[in-house]
Amino acid sequence: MSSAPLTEFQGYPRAHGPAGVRNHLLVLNTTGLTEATARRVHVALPGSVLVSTPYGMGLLGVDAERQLASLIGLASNPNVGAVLVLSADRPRCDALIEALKPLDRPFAALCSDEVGHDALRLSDRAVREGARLRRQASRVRRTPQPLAALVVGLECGLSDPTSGIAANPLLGRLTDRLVDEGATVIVGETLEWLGTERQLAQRSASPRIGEAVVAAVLRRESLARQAGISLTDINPNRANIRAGLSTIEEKASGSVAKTGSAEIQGVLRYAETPPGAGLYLMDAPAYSPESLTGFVAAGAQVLVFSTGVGNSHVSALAPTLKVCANEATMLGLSEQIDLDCSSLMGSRANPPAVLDELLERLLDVASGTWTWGEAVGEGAECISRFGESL
Amino acid sequence: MSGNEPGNERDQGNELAPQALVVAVQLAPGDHVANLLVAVGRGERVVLRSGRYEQQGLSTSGPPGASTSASPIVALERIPRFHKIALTALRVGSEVVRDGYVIGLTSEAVEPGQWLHTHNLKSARA
Repeated sequence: MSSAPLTEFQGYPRAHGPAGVRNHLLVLNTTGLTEATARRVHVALPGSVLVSTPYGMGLLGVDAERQLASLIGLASNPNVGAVLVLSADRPRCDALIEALKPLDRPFAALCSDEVGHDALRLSDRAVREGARLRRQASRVRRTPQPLAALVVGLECGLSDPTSGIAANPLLGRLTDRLVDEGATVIVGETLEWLGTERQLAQRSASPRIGEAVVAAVLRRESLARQAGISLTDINPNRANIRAGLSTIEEKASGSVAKTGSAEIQGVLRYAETPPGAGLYLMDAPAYSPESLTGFVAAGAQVLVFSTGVGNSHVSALAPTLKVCANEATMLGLSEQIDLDCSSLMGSRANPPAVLDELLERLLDVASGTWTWGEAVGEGAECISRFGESL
Repeated sequence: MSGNEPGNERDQGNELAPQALVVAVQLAPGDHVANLLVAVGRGERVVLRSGRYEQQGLSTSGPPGASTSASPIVALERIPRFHKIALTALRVGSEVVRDGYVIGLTSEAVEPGQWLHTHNLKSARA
């Protein structure tokens, strides 16, 4: 372990907003019609990151609004050094282009309707444009950045008893440490607050925020009820009970342990950028692909993801550190888990040392060291849906 | 939550002294329960390890509020690995706190050393 103070990382400075921990060329496909073109362009430009939405026309209301907010958010993420936008038609990407202009970030937008809807001509132009953008983005150099510049998303997926006893409480202490340093932390998975919402509300910075926490839980509970599912009746499930969970409150407490004891500064909408530093909850789906993309579109540069039995999913744009406290999982998934915290399940655990190790690993990854997910080539983004299309 | 079922065997990785004491983690100070890291049998002694990040190593303190006590908790019944042991006496209808969160209400009176699970701990939310 190095003796360097755990307060800095080496990041890519951005003209507007916090530093990036990566400097990706983002190939951002914004319409389903151009998906194959985007894939072709991504393959032709090794090292580029492809993010693609299969939708485009007929999104309504919240869906249309959150889809655009997510695309803008992903293109604006500090880890993006340059953006190549692909779209079937120009008007459909106008709003995105307007949002990118003030960022002072190299970008280009290419549309099928400008090349007579010829996918091969679009591909040719896009590859050339992408190469130019990538070269331009490569000029930026890493510089020392304060820990406070980080926006960190926390997730848990495929949990087991070690998650609630060790890994998530560890992430909670990471939250408290990051918040103390002036950084920003986002925790989502609204469904998993169910049972602890009153206590989360009491920890909120204002009564209005507390009401938003409770309202978010009740809304999702009522969504489930409308679909014929009683969340309180099916939780904890039989496997949970065998594993030692007695009530839904206990199940939720194991997940919201990730929030530590910091004050809750607000409840974000899906993909909404936190307006300040500190701990924020995001009212969002619990499934990891949708959840992580919500964090990344909100501006998270790095994610920490606890798992019990293993979970290979990572973000494409934000390095995702996998943390696990299950010794058996560690042995089986040596190219998936970035931090083994199974010592916390033993009799001689030294929690403060494990927390330091996690923070050190986080800063190391923020400074450029790859996660296993990056080394293996995992990574995808998935923008959530909110209703039917026309 | 899925995966590893609680086993009856002792944790493989535990380096405990010959007259092994079973270890349980009390995640937050003031918690009424601790999670056992290995299964425990009736009459066996359980030492608490604090989940607090400010402290290190084992603590042999008793239930919260009785930290001067050097004697470990004695398990009053068999309790599976990862399940909860009561650290303090609780009246019927009492809030049960784990990791600082209220996880439900007791449906009967509970003695220190008892197993707290679905038979005596009910959701207040459902």
